Amino acid sequence: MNKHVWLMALSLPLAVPGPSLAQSPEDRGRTIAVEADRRASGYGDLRARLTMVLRNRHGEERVRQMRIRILEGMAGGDRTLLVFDRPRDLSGTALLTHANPGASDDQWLYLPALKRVKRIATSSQSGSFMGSEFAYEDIGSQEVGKYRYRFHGEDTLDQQACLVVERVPLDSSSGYSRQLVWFDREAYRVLQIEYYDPDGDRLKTLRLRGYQRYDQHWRPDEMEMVNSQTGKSTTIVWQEYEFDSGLSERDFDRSALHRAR
Amino acid sequence: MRRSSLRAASRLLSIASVVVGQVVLGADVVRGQWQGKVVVGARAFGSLGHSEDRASSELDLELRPRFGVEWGDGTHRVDVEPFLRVDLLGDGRTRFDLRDLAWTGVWDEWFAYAGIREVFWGVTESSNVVDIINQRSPVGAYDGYEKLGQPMIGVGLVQGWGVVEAALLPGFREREFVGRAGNLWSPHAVDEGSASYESEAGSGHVGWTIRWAHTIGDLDVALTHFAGTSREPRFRLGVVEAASREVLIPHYELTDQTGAELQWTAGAWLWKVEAMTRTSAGGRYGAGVAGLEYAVADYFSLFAEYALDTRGDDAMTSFEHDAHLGAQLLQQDGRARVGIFVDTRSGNRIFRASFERRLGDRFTLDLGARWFGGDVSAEPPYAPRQESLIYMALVTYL
Repeated sequence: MNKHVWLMALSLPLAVPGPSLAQSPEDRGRTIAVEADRRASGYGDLRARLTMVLRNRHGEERVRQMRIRILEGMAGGDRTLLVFDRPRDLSGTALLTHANPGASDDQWLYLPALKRVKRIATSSQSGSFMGSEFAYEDIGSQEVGKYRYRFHGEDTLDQQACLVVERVPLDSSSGYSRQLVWFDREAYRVLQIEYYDPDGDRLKTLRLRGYQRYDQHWRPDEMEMVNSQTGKSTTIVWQEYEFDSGLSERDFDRSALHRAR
Repeated sequence: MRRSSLRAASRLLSIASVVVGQVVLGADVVRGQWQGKVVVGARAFGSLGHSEDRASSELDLELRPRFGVEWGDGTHRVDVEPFLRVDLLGDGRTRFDLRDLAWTGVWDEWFAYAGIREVFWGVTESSNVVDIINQRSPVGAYDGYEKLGQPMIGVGLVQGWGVVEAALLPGFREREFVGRAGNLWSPHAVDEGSASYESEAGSGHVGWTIRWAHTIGDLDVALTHFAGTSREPRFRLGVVEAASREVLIPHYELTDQTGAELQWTAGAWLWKVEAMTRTSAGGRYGAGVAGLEYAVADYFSLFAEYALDTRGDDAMTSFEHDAHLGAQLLQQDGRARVGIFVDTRSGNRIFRASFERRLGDRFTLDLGARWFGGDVSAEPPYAPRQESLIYMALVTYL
């Protein structure tokens, strides 16, 4: 009896990510996504600094800087607080997001000049995040349940062996018909995502680089989104990651916005 | 020269506060944030139809540094926001003020604060009738008013049924009537030095407020009560004996105000209402604003609101039966707002437009205009006169 339990426990992690002949491409794609999600979650909370560089097709740049705090919630119910440092006229402006699994998010904006907290209409998923090439759905929680999966094949990216999974957003308000996601075989880190528009044409490519390990969490230093249809691009550089820094719900309620500046 | 010395001063300030935080308070982690801006602003006014001796333009230099430091892993925080306006044309509007100089402490479900603060109550766009804690100053505001810091000490409790916050308000700030603001109410000048109070304690009367606020799904709701000296004076006609000329003397009554705010955020539609009822020696009246915002896109919103004041022609505001339509457009490097207010009784109307444009990393340029159309004599006699003006401001961020 005991022996059987041990065997099962041993075989589980092998069976999950490994190539199984019995699995359909749909099952295999989903299994990979579940494993990647398992490895990416469980960080509790994090703080970091973000620098976002927006480039138009002429190469002109705009720089946005912000501080971010995230409290991991159950089933995608994350709390996120963004405080802007640049552009300087927006300095101290803060955006609080309460993600609601299966429903639209709640968002509040803090305007430091007026000391005013405003509940705002939740941005549409496909809308641009701060005028960048990232849509809200690209940076929000990407729970397993939001997509339908299919294993697409194997590939090599930057000399790393990858599993490529196709995922189709289930929400009709998504701006994409499908996405291709490159996970590295070693640690199931997302290395690249290709986004396809409703006509099925490739719209954008996201590259994630400079993965570093913080405790058991892998985090990229740099995310670059290139829009191949417009020639615009956005780079996000992450700095000063702190995990499990002791944030609580109280750091993500409306009154916390006043203290965010 | 000025900018570099300002920056040096602010660096010194931030170093000093870290030292204070670590040595005096024994805190291990101190996080500081500072920012500052210098505003050069010019305004030109149209005619009010009276007191043509007043200045038709204003030119100001403003310094607005802002500094915040927190320690004890966010348990304590101090915010400092001084304000200095230099009247470059010498109309006597030069002022120093503290908009913020307050400590805030946060422990689990409790929070407390003490110091000079600026507080916002309200949900609507066109005006905020429940917003009462801070004195409003029309002096120096491009269009509308600015708030003066209010001394207060308060405590709050965060629970599953909402946030309750109560505060004492020691000290009172009188409304300012220098420059153009002195003539908005009447052809007579306002004699600030003779201001009188209903309370025997005068400006030393201690007021209090309590507020409950809660979010229930798509609803944001708040109830408020204020008891203290009215921020809005009544005026009586007086005579300066020496000059034998008539002046307006402000009189500050004691008042009780109960207010409510409600916002329902239904997708792209935001329904908003705020209302209050106020009692003072002069009786009871009510005022409210209700309307909606439609977010056409992330960067484009439309507004429609209606404002009501039961005092009607006795109102101390022009917005006693007024409809408002507005639009806001956000762009990568700028913002534009337009709006129109129409008095549904008199047909008087105000058109407002403002544009902000980011210039590089350190500057923004603000342009705005306001135009009053209609019959001045149809405006409430006790309300500040509506006027036409244009303004321009160059803001430098340090």
